Amino acid sequence: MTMLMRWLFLAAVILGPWMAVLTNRYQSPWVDQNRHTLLLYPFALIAAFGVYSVCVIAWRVYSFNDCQEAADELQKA
Amino acid sequence: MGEDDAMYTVLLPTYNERENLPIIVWLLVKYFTDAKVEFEIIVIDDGSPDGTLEAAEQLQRIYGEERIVLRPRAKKLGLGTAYIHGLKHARGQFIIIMDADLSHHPKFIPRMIALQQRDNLDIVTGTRYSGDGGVSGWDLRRKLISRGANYLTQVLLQPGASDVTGSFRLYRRDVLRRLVDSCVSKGYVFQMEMIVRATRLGYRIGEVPISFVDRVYGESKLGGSEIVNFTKGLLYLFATT
Repeated sequence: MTMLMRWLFLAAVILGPWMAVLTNRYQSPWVDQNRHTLLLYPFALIAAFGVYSVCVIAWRVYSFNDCQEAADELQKA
Repeated sequence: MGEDDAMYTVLLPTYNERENLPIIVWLLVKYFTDAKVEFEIIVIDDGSPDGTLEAAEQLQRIYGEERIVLRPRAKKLGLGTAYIHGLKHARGQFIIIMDADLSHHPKFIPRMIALQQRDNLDIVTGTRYSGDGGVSGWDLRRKLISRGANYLTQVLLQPGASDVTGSFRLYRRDVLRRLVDSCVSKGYVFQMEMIVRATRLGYRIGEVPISFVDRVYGESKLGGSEIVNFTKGLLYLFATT
């Protein structure tokens, strides 16, 4: 399975039930009570992943080693 | 396994490296000799106008034809075909690929060899992104692009290595042959394709932290076209692997 297929599969798993709620194909008292939250949840997932990604990248840029001594070592050689 | 007396072949594709070649070869000879390891260095020069080939011939006279092997080509033909070309004549059971411009220090090679032997690996790749690994001469912008691109790659491709575009690696010869044959990308996307396909094929990959010194005697670039090429390569591998 290619990575593309994996991601499409994941998207289907998340968006399938979500679409069912959005289009009122699936109805239950619980869904009606939580409709607002349920409709937001894919966007909340994306936003959370975005925040996580930005934090990870920022930390990795900050902690990227500067190997000045390696450059000096080569200059001597 | 009998790999204690294995031979190692370094593939050095060069283009206008007349200044750097004698230094890199001297360092390679030094570290291989210190480690008491059999080796040969194959210089694949793509018709450099600056006389790299003449410099290589001089080195061959100094270190011997057993150690320095010349496999020049008439013009610039790309990295993938340079490896194929060099591999045809490689005598080592293990192949080391690295840049000839001194961004990669040969002192890391004994560590790669040791890790390969300890864990019986198929590939050992140098990594700038973990442990003591790092870079020299990169500004904030370049670090940001590099880290961002690397993160995106990790998320989308799960490549099985922390440094996907690195070009300082040790391969089992047959593994490198097979990978080179199945990879179509150019430039450093080629390195990315190699490691991703290796992971998909189930090869065992290890990592050694390295420092990457950006072009001490040359000039570096990271332009818009490189970013476009990287994105294309990423999407290609995303859809096909």
